[in-house]
Amino acid sequence: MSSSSTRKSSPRISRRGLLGRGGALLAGMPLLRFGSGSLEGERLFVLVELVGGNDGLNMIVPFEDPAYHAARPRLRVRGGGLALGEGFCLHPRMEALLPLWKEGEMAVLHGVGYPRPDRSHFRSRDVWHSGRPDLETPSQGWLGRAAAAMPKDGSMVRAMGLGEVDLSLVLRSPRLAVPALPDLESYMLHTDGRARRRRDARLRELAALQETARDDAIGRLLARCAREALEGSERLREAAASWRPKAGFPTHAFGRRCALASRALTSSLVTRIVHLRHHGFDTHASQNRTHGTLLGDLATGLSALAADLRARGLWKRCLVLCFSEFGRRLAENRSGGTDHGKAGPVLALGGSLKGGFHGRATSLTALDDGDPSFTTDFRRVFAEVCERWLSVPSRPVFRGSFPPLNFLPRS
Amino acid sequence: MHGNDVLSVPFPPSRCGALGLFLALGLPALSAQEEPAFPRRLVDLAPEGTAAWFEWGGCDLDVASLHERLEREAERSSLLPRLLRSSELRRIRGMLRLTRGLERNGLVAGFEDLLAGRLVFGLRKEGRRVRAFALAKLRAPSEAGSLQRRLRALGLEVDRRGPYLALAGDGRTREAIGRAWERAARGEGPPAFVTDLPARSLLRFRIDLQELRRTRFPLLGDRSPVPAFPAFLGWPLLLSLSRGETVEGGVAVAADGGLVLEVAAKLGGIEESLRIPLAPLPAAGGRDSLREGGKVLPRLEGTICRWRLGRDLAAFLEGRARLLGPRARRQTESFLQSLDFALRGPRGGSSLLQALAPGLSGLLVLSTEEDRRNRPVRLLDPPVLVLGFPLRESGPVRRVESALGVLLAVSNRDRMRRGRLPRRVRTETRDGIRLSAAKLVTPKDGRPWPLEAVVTPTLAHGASWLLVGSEDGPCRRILFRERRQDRRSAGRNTGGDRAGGRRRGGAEESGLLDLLEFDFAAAAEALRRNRKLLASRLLVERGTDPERGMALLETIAQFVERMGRVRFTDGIGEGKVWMRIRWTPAPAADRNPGEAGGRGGRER
Amino acid sequence: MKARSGQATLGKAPALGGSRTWLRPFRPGRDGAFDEAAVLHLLRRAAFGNPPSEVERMLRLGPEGAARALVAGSEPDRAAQSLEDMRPFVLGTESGRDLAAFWFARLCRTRHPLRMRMTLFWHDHFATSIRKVRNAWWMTEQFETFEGLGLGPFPDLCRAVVKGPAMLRWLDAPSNRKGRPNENLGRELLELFTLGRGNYGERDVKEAARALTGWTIIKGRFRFDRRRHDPGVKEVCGKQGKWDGDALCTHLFSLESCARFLAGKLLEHFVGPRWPVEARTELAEVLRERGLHIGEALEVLLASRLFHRPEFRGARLRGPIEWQAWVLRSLGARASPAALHRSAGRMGQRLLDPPDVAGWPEGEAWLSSASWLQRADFALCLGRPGGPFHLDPPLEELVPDRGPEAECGFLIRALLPEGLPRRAEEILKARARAEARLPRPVRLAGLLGALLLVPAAHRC
Repeated sequence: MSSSSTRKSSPRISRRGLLGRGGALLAGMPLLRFGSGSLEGERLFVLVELVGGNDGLNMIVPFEDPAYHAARPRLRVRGGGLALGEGFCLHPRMEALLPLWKEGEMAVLHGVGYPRPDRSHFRSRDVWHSGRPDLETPSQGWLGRAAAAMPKDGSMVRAMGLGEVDLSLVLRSPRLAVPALPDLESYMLHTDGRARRRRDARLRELAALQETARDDAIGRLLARCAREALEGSERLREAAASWRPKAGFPTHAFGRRCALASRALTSSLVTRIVHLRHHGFDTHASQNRTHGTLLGDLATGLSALAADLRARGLWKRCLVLCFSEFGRRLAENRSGGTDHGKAGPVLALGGSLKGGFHGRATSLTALDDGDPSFTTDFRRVFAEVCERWLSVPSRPVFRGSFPPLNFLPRS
Repeated sequence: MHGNDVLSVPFPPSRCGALGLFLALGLPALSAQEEPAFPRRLVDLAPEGTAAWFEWGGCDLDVASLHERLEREAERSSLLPRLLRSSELRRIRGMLRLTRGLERNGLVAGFEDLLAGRLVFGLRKEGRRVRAFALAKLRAPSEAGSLQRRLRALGLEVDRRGPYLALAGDGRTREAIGRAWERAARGEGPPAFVTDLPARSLLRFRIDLQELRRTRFPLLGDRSPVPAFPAFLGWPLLLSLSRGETVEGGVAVAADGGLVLEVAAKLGGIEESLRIPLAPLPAAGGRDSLREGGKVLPRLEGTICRWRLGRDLAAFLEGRARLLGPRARRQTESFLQSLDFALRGPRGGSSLLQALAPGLSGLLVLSTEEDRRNRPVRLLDPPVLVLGFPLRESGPVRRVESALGVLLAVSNRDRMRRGRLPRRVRTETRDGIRLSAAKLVTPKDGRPWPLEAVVTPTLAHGASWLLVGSEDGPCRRILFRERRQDRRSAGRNTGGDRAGGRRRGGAEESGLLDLLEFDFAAAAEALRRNRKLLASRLLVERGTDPERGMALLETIAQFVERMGRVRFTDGIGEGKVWMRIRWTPAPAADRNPGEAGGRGGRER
Repeated sequence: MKARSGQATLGKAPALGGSRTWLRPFRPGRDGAFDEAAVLHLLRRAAFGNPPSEVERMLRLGPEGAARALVAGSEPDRAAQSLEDMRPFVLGTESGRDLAAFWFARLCRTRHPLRMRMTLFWHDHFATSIRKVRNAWWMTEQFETFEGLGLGPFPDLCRAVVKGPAMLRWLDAPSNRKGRPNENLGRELLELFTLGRGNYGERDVKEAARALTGWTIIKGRFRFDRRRHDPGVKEVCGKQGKWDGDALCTHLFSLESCARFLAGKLLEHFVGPRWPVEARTELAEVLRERGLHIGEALEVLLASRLFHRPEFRGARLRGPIEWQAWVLRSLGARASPAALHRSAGRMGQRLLDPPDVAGWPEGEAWLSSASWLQRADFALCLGRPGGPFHLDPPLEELVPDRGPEAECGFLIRALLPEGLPRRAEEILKARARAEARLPRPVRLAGLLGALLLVPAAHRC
């Protein structure tokens, strides 16, 4: 068992990254250019995490399978209202996503999980976030490492965790520090001058002070960092202030996070990768009461985000992926809920993917200790995202090659 | 009136400041007019559109001694000057200085001489705005002129007719007052303020919420975003109160010495029977879950706070679709979901709720010597919190114990992941009382007891109560006391049962809905017992030096214990809802800061 | 790897009598003046800041006396002592945050700043994160070890730290056993703690891991489990023996590369980047003569010619905690420990939580545009009335009320007595004048904020 302490092959010479937990830190990479243009042709990625273990069987419902109905007398979704084809339908509260499915912009990846699964939230989350089931206590996330390996571009921050103060493991990487922001305002310089004129005077003064730096390496570094920080913060402030939603975002908590994601992705040059969390899926009891609402919120939030990005002409460049740390058991329990399971479906939305079903549907008869077992290793999904969407080699990130499912176009 | 004790309250009275405020509204004078015939009641001069009325009978207010007292305190304590430099206190001091100035001008001292004892501060609605005004009635008309001159010397112009003075915030109000005067002189028209409060009350007030709602003070809004917990507390009730009714009240001096401030009083049974009818009960909405009467946890020795909520949780949850907005409904759904999960069954939650009698009670109590001995940690001495759910039947309660096991298992897993010690449950049964306490396991890896070891979540039930507490000692004491009383009252004949029942609950008024009692002296003691812990938090959060932190906490404790006791009750009677607050500050003798303790007041 | 090989950009030192050239004691007059500038440099590098009384004291003591005084420290005063009363209450919450905050509280009141600085130094050297260790008591113990033994002989310190439960868990020592070695502890011991990269080979790591088998934690204490120990002969760095962990450590400490490694680290931290290679040789010699005694080596280093050379003044970039400490100690003020900890974390240095075994980056890597933003946040909020830092005494009491320009001058003299570039001073004075109408606390807070963002404020 190797430890969490990282064994990098050519590591610690260039100490360009700072890893910080909570709060906003940035990569040591100097900001390149501002102002002109947007991230032309650069791809955007939104990773949505359904926290708690989503009941995939009630999200993508195998309504034509008698085993499903037999095992869930009370919890089952009856009827094939929002039919997806191949014997599946959507949970009735997710109608907002049906148009995307019909357009071929939504993909369902069946039975995604990992070998020797663990039913502990924390352990499973660690595995999904790090992409390394072999590590006991991982300290880096696959998305963080992929983002660190991406070539430099004009974005201020390569990736962001939005809506929370704690940075999730999935974005951690020692070579790239990623901010975790409850909102975009926490990334701006807050002088005490609220009035515009006073703010500008303060900023000018601070900028002027930087010119007095000594002319040596450290002095130049100080001056440059300060200048870039001041400029960047102002750009972000302007961009964030001028952002207007191009679709009606719902007002519930997840809807607000989707709006925040849109701001981060579209307010020029801010970021390309966003991680969002949607809480509350650990439905051990009375699942009927809450699961529908959660799925409804998910659907309305994401469809609003899709509409917004489409209106900005960015939808073709965007990919949204929804995953959960495990699925839930086939049979319902005595409290009207379901207990922790193993694998579940992953939803992918985007303007450029191949819609429809991918992978093999899990069998509801050949169960693994009462759970539908996984048919697709989750690393195949993420590796495909790395290779085909982010253009980053996936082998160093996941320590192995994993054949793609082909839901994304070949780069 | 003059025979009463000198009123020396331990902090600046807002009334005094308010007084300073009224007189500070300066305006050009109305021209003095002829003296028409005078009405006998000040209330007859209320202008139309009056939405709020505060009538003050005046009392002896020793401003000079109040000021001196404050200055003495400041000298004695090194901390007070720093506190006093804060901006809020600077403003209050400003008002005190103004009143001092008035006093120096002979105004305040001469106040009681001049006034027949009544002063009014009012709010009047003018369109969408609210305007203030003040009225006063002097003892003798001849004095009015001299008062008017003195006020003019301060830059204030008041209008005068006979013994009546008026001060208005704007021209329209002045005219309205003038019109009211005309009307009163002719003996016409209804007064704006009607009350049957006895004349000797110090303060009477009436607020017409209906009027004020449409002004620029936004009052309580629409009910849909109301979160679940306030809804349960009775927010909808308050909301409907605000929706169109009036609130009235009064203040009186009690006969037993010390100051007693009663904002409301219930009919019958109390000496100063000030009768304040409030709004009629709402027809629908929060009414269903109100339950009067019912048990309260007994007051143990060292009780800091004790309360009862006369709400029927089961009925409330059943009616939640009607009572709550969407967000609050979601919260209650997830609460019910966790309850079902913990109780292992989809109906687990509801069957438990049915077993509970209406009403919830609670207690916050200081620990006893015995409690302290049983604790593994002596560094801190927190008060114990006990929540009591009265029981109708004790059967479903057993499931709660197994639920405790489940919850504990989940919690332990999370704790161990974070490197904390787990808790283990120990259950005992004795004399029909069953008690389960979750104690922290003894640390074995060389570490000392963490501070949280002092808390031992406890679940206990007897014949009539289900208790949840932060420690087991008081839970045991409560249940044993209940058992003793049950046995005693079972031994009596039926006739005495009612008496026993009443005594069991303490001296409760019938029809009592909610109760809140707070003993500031005990609260100060709790503060003192945990000074070091609190000082350490001050150190960590604010960087306060430990010594300074401890001194500050001691000052706060002294201040707190002087507040005496407060008792709030409300209830339903005669189809209306009533409210009462009874506040008894610690008597003057105990207010010497040099003495420890000072738990004044009598045991009730 | 933080200890870079220095380049001899300073030219060869003149050969004088005696083997020591760079570390020869600094002689005022011959090697330069021991004036206020020299003392400021010394205080900033060895302590954190320059409280005015300290400057005079150091001047009187002279270069060697000053170095000795800094290494020895002063007796804790009542304020520092009354803090100890609070210790069981703060640590009893078992929260890493409280533990860190307590350290900051002690930092503000310490009378031995070099000891606190060395705690940070060793915390970085032996980087252990509470996120994996998950035991606040063990982390406390490790910190106490740093503080207690940090200025003593390195072998004692290293042994105590490496056998502490925090480090054992951090580097998976208990899972290192005969037949199933886990190389973590062995590798880091060689690479990060004692020898440094390039001074050992892969085989040495494997052999060291074998020597360290049997080290485990039982009931929160170090235990040597003979059953798990591999008793055979090991060969590490050219020598052989039937070593267990202790014997291995003794062997490692005796190697020349160990002294050189430590010397390089001390030079990097106290002298600055680009120290001369020969200086490392000399310092290593000093260390070996004194049994790797850190305090004594520092006495020599801090009083040396090398240390006081003008090219090293202002050559280092302050890390976040160093920077915070410099402000507070130079002003003679204290601030909310929890807020300081939070702020330092945002600036990239979260106490008890280094990013990985290699510790925090040094020097220029502290700074990026984002971390500059966080520093700006700290600077602008520090003196703010009603702000999160609760500066005590507040600025309006610290700074005498003699008009805006005098206030400006006072703050500049307190923090940067050597003065600012003229342009910077003009800008600040202009600002002070422009804001004369603002309430004094607000004005002072803004002034302090701007002053802290002058580039010179980040170098020492």
